[in-house]
Amino acid sequence: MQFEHESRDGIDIVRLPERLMMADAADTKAQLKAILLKGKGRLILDLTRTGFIDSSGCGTLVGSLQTARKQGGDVYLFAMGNNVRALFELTKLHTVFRIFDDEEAALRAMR
Amino acid sequence: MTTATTVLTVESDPTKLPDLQARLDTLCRDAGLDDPAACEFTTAIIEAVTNSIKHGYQGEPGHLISVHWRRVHGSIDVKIRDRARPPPAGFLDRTEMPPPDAVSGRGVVMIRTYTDAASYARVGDENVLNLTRRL
Repeated sequence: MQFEHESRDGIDIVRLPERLMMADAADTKAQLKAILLKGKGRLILDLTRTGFIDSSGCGTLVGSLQTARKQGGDVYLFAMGNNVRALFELTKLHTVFRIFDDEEAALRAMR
Repeated sequence: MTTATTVLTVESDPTKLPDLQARLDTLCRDAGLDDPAACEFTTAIIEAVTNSIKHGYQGEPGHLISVHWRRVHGSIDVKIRDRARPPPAGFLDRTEMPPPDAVSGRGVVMIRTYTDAASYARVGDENVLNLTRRL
């Protein structure tokens, strides 16, 4: 699966798919890592379409965060739906990621 | 009300999981679970099947996992059956979520959190995981 990906002001923005689960975990992790290592470690993930994340998907997101922070960067998220937000609260992932309502807010914070 | 059992069978192949997730989500909603509850119970079942593929069959394709779905009175009762190696004793006992910066270890806690009851039995050469969610 190839993600929609663009760069704005040195920040990579990736549109995640409908599901983040074991089926694509390795590929997703590899693609996000490649984007982070090629760029400046500053990544914003668009969750507009993402309605389902399992534990493998959580691991993929955390792995990306670790890669970004090793480069002195970060991973921000935006447009999180209610079900994904509830999962983040259960897993406490909301304490390690910065989460924004929309893309512009995430971009402003990361610049 | 007790309904006939619907059986969904998948191969031990992670690429089959998105289709299973979509079918389970539809079953949950048709049974009367609202959006958050449908997502939660679907997640619990997907986590169980993922465990079977990843740990039971150790990622080896070509094996079958069946999800037996039934509405019983005020609950949905699901049995996940496979012939993989048995899980470690007490694997369902874990109730504490790992630290948020951990890359793994959340699956069983999600199963426990998103179900009203979860139990495991070895029946002959089968693993049978029972998951229940009240309507």
